[in-house]
Amino acid sequence: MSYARPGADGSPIAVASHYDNFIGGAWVAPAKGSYREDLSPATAQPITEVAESSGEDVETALDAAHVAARRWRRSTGAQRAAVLDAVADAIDAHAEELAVVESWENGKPVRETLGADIPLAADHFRYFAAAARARESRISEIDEHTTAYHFHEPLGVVGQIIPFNFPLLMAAWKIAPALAAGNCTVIKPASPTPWSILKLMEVVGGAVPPGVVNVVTGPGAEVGKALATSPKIAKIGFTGETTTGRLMMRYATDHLIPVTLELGGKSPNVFFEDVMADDDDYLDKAVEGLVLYAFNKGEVCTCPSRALVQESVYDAFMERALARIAAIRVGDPLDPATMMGPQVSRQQLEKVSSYVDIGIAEGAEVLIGGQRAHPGGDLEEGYFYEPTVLRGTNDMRVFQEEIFGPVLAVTTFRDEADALEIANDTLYGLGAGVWTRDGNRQMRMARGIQAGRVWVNCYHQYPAGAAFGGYKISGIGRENHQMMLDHYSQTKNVLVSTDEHRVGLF
Amino acid sequence: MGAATPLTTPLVCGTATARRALRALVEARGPLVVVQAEGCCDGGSPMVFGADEFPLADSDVCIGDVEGVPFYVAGRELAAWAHGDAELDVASGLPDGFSLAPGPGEHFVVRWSACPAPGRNP
Repeated sequence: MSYARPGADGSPIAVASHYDNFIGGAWVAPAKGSYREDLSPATAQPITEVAESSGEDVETALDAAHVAARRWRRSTGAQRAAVLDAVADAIDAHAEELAVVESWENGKPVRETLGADIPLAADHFRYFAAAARARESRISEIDEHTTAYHFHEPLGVVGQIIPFNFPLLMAAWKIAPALAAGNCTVIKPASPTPWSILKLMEVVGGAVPPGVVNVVTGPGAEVGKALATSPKIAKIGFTGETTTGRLMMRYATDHLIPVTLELGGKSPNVFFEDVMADDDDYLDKAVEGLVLYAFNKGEVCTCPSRALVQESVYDAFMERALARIAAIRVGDPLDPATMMGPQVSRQQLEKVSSYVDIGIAEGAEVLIGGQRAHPGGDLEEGYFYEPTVLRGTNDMRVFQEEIFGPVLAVTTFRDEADALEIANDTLYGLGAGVWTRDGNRQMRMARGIQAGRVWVNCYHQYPAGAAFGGYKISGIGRENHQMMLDHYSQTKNVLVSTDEHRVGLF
Repeated sequence: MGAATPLTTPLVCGTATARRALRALVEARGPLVVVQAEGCCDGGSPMVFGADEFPLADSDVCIGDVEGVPFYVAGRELAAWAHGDAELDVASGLPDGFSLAPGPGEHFVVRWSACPAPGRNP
C-alpha cells in the first residue's frame, strides 16, 4: 500500500503553507517577502511554497554563520562528533517521514529513499563523527633542533550548493565533512527540491548549534550567485552540471578560494562475455547491473548510461536485460512496489524526450521504451518517462552527452582493448562498471578506465569511506571519505627551533 | 575570450518568444551570452549569462547568434553534433543552474529542429 501523500488525510507529515529560510537556528522570512510554489513531480501539483530569496538573505545567513564560527571553530573533535552523531540519531528517528518527504518532492521511489538515501545520510554523519574524533595532527622532526607541527584549522564559513537528484544525501555528503572540520555552512538547495532539506532542518536543527548550518532557498542566478561570489565564504562546494562548475571556478578566482566540484558523467558499464559462462546468481546480478541505469530514474551523475556488451554474447545478454527492463514498475513514488518514479521536473522530462529524438535522428535503434509513461489517475500530469534503451555507436550524441534520465545507450565491443578504448572515449570520468569473472581482467580494466570510481561486479553502491569524485571534466576533489576533512581545512604549520645559537648570516 | 568562429552547421536560431525575451534581458542587463550546458543535472540546457560573467575558453565555439547574443557550445561536444539545428525557445519551468530566466516561471530551452537557412533569424 502506498504511503499517504504529505499533508493529505492519514499522513503523519505536516506540510506548512510556506517555508522560510533556516538561518541562525531559526526560521527567517525572506527579506523581500517572496515565495514560490514547490511542485511534486508525480502530479505537477504544489506541495507548499518556499522562500524565493535574494542576496540580502544570503548576507543574513553568512553573518549568522560567521557569528557561530567563533565558537564552532574552537570546538573539540569530541564535541563535533557528538553533534554529528545527534544529527544521525535524529535522522534515524524520523527516517520514514524523511523518506516520504524526499520521495514526494523529488519523485524517486520510496523504496530507494527508505533503503538508501535516508540510511546512507545518517551513516554519513556517523562516519564523519568518527573521523572528527579520530583525526590527528602531524609532527615532523626536521632535525635535532627543528620540529614542524601541522595543525588542522577550519576554513571558516563555506558555501555549499546541492543538486536536485539526491537532495538529502548530497546535503549530508557536504554538511558532515564541513562540520567535522570545524566549519559553518550556508547551503543553497537546488531549485526543484528546496523543501526536503527544510524538513530535515526541522528534524536536526535542534541538534546543531545555531548558525552552524544555514539554508537559503531561491534561484541560482540570484541566491547561488550571491553565495558563490561573496567575500565572506572561504570555499565553494558544488555538485551539478559541468558548465555551472566552470562558473563556480570563475567566481572562486575573484577571491582566490578553493572549490570542490562534482560534475557530470557518462559512465560506461562494461560486460565481458564470461558473465554468460554460467546461468547462476552472478549472471542474474550482472543483468541487474545493466538495469541499474534506471536507478533514481537515471538522475544520477554516475548513471551507468553507456552499456558496452561484448559482441559474442550481446543477443543473449540483452534478451535477459530487456526482459528485466520491461518488468520495471513505473508509477507512484510513494508506493513501495514502484521501481521508478517521475523525472524531477517538466524540463527534465522534456530534455529526456528531446535526447531520445536526437538519438533516433542519429540512427539509434529504440530497443524498448522511448516515450512518456502513463501511470493513470492524477499521476497522468506527472513527469513520467518509460525506461528506454537505444542501440547505437559511441560517436553519437546520446553516447557522449549526459541525458540525466532513464535512457541507456548500448553498443558492442570486440575484445578487452576495444572495450577500454570505447569506455575512455568520453569527456567524462566519474564512474564506470566492470563485469567479468576474470580477476586479472577486473583489475586491468579498473586501472585502465579513466574515472574516479570503478565498480567491479557491482554498481551504484555509495558506502561512506569509499572516495568519490571525477577525472576529466567530471570534477575536482573527492567526497564520501575522510580525505574530505583536508578539503575543508587549512594546514597551520608551526616551525619551532630549540637551537640556542644564531644562524650566522648576520 | 573564446575563439568566436561561427560554423555553417549546425545553425542556431530563436523563436519569436525567445528573441523577445533576449531583447528584454539585454535591455535590462547589457550584453549576454548563451552557453549550451554540459553534464549532470541541468546539463543539456541552454544557459544565459552576462557576457563578462561566464569564463569562455578558446575551446568554446560560437555557432551563431540569436538577436545578437552569441550562442556557445563546448568544442569537445560539438564534434558529435551532426544532426539538427539549435533553436532557442522559452518554456515554463524554473531556470536551469545559474541561468537568467526569460521571465517569471520560465526557462530557456533548445529544440533540435531545422532553422531557416542560413541560420539567421527570420
